Amino acid sequence: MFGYTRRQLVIVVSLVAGGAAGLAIDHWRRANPDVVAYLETLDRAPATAREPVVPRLSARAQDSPHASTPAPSRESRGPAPPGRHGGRARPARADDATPLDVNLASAAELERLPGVGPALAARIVDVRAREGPFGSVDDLRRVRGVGGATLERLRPRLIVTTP
Amino acid sequence: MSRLALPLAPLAVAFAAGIALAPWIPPHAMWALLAAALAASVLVLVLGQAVHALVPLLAAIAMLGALRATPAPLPPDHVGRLPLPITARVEARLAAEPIVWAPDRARLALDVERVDGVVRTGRILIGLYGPPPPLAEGQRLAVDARLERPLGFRDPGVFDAAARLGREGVHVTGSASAARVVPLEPPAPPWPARVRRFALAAFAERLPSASAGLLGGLVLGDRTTLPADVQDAFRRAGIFHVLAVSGFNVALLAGAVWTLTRAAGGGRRTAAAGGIVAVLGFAAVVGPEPSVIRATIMAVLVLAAVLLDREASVTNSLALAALAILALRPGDLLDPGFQLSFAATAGIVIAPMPRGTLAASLAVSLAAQLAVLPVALVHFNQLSTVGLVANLAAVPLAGAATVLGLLAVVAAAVGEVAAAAVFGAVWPVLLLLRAVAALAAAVPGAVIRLPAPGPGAIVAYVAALTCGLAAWHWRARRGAGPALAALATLALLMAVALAALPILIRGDGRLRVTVLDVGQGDAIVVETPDGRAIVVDAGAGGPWRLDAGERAVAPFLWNRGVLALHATLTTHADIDHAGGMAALHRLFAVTERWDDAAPPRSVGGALLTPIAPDVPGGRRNDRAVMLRVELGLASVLLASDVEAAGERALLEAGVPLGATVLKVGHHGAATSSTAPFLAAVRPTVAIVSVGARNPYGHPDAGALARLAAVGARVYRTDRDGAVLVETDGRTLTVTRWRDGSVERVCLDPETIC
Repeated sequence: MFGYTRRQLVIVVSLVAGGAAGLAIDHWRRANPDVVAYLETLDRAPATAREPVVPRLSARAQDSPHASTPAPSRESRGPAPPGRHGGRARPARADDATPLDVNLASAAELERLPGVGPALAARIVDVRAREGPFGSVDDLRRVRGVGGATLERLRPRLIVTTP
Repeated sequence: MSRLALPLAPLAVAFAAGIALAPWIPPHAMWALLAAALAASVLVLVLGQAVHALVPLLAAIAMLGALRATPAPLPPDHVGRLPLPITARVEARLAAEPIVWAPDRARLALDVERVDGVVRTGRILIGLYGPPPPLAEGQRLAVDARLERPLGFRDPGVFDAAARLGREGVHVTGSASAARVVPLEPPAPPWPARVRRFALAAFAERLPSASAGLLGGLVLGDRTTLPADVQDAFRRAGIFHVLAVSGFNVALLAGAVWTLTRAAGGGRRTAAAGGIVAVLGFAAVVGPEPSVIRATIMAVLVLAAVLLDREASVTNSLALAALAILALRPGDLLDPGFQLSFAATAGIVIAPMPRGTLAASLAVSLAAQLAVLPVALVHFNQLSTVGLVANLAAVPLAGAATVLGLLAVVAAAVGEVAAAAVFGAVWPVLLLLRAVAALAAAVPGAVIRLPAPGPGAIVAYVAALTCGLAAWHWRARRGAGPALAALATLALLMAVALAALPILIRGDGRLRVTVLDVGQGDAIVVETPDGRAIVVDAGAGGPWRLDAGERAVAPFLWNRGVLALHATLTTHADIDHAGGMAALHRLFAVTERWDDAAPPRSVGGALLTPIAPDVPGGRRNDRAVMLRVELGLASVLLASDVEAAGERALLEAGVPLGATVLKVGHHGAATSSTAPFLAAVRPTVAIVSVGARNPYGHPDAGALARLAAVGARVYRTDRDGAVLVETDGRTLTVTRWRDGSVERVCLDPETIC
């Protein structure tokens, strides 16, 4: 029938088996997001894993923004939990002299800093989300567009409280 | 065919069959069947004869397709898991170039990154109103949008846009003011988008607008600037396919590159390599439509065969293209574009080709037309009668225009002199093509609208084509083969009979009133016991909005076997009632128009009375025309948008209002359905025609309470989809289309039913 050789059939069977295994793994991943998130944290290089595992897990697992209080994950850009940092990272008044925590500030708050536009603020938040929180104010150099001059201008307005 | 080539067609068919069967197989059964079939094929391969492994192997591939098509649960951070509807600030990346379909209307496909500052994933579609800012593919932006679940029309025989979006993985749509779009970075379109913009701008700059739009459609498949009437003419003429990017464009491009390279002294391999590069670049520019992917994969395989000195199998490359598309996007199997593209190509590949240019072009045209016939009927209720001839003239013209259009893009980049020459040459071709389309579209009966054939009719039709093909091959080799030809004729007759069944069985002595789901608006179809149809209002419609008359009422009627209307009744001029009526008058022959009060008339045994409240100087809603339909003991009152003043006027005039079924006035608004009016009607069944999430707060809780107080059972099109009422004059059944539930009402207290 259709003239398949044994070798061809073996190839197709192997391909189908491989596809089936891939599908099975994919379905399992989707069905168990918590386990997958845990495995992903184990797989991260220790240098960037400054944050404990738990916040990331809860940020990934929460189904609605109202389901739980936002954990101080480095992905969270909303207001920080008031208890822990005394509300420093809450939406600041226009000329708030209190320094801003780079690791907790939202893009909107960063935009209020001198010389930071929407694009740079978005890049800072992006780098923070992708590569992990900043270890110090100088660590901001990781962000494209932040050079020595910018850093010196911003230094008095910024702090890093996270370990 | 060499023995080395792996026949892919059976594998592709098995995979597609699995996708088609997916909704009817529970996932656990799929996994079990897949494991069993795989084990069986391995066992047969090890122990028995290799050929016997094919059957379990095909079963395993089918289950693989079914599993691929089974919707997986959304990831926990998917935007579809949000409690919708909500208004939120969405940060996202533009997944495609924005589609600006009117000066102040645009559609954005967005890959969500954050919603209200929280990380989210998923693709959403946002409709923008107001003049949109300059945006480009790949750009990050923030927008304050209202997010909701997509909502289509849920009517029998009507395309459900929400289901289609779901198959494409879009579970959330939204709308926003263009003023609330904040670009987070400057627009930096990737090179394919820049090429596309450059080409469309060059066309628009150097050609009159309609011709520029036509060239954009021919070369790039972009029809956004092509006037609707030109598109309609191409559709009626049966040559709409030239306006989509398909194998035709890809073949022309590859052919042009091949010819130019060979003419410049290049070898076969250089020409093939150049063709591959050009085809891949073209595919990137025009975007990932199923027909583009199919044509690109096939062209690359054929050219690669030249490159590698192998013989290309067109059937195999078609099958590989199908496998690739379906593995990536299994939902495309049900997409009309996918079906048309593969049916037409398969028809052309399989059909026998006679000698001679004219005979061969006619054969290609005929093969493609025969192959796409069931697809066009299922999706568009459309049978083209002039397409066969129109294609003979249109395809060469479209080919010339496409090649010149491609050249024009190059010329526009080179310099003004070259551009002027090429655009001067392409313009007359475009005008001629439009003339051909207009001429063919003007032929009476160019397009015949028919009900969508059922699975039985399609199977019989495919069997007829297969037998006919076999008979042709038999005759070519061994002389006459009467048995096969007779079988083909028999199957064809069966297909025609099955397809015509909905038209033949009309008029079974039952009265049907269907309140269609057309969003916020009214569209009601009355089918009399002798099979004639009267349409009372046709939902919202007109330019720049979704036309419910064309998209919902017309397909519903065609699929019911209604090919002409006995009468239409526009109850009043509001857009949510009268908007779709123009499309119906364009698409159907209408015998009568009842737009005012009239004495009762008998149509096929049912008594129909248009009633108009006499409210001098009243609001438009209060002067709307009601329709009362009676058959035996059953009666239906369609109350249009009449409000309290109109209801009072009718009560004072002493018009008989009692009815078993009431189409509740004004979408269930508080100002309609007053207690005295309902006391006079005393409905058993009340149907509210209302759009989900409408901004008017319809239906009103007080009105619903008043309906419940008179003992009416309330049906709502926003929750139930279309509501179908059917009666023989003694009993009455009401069906909710969305869940298929049926309820019975006995009208004659003397009998048991």
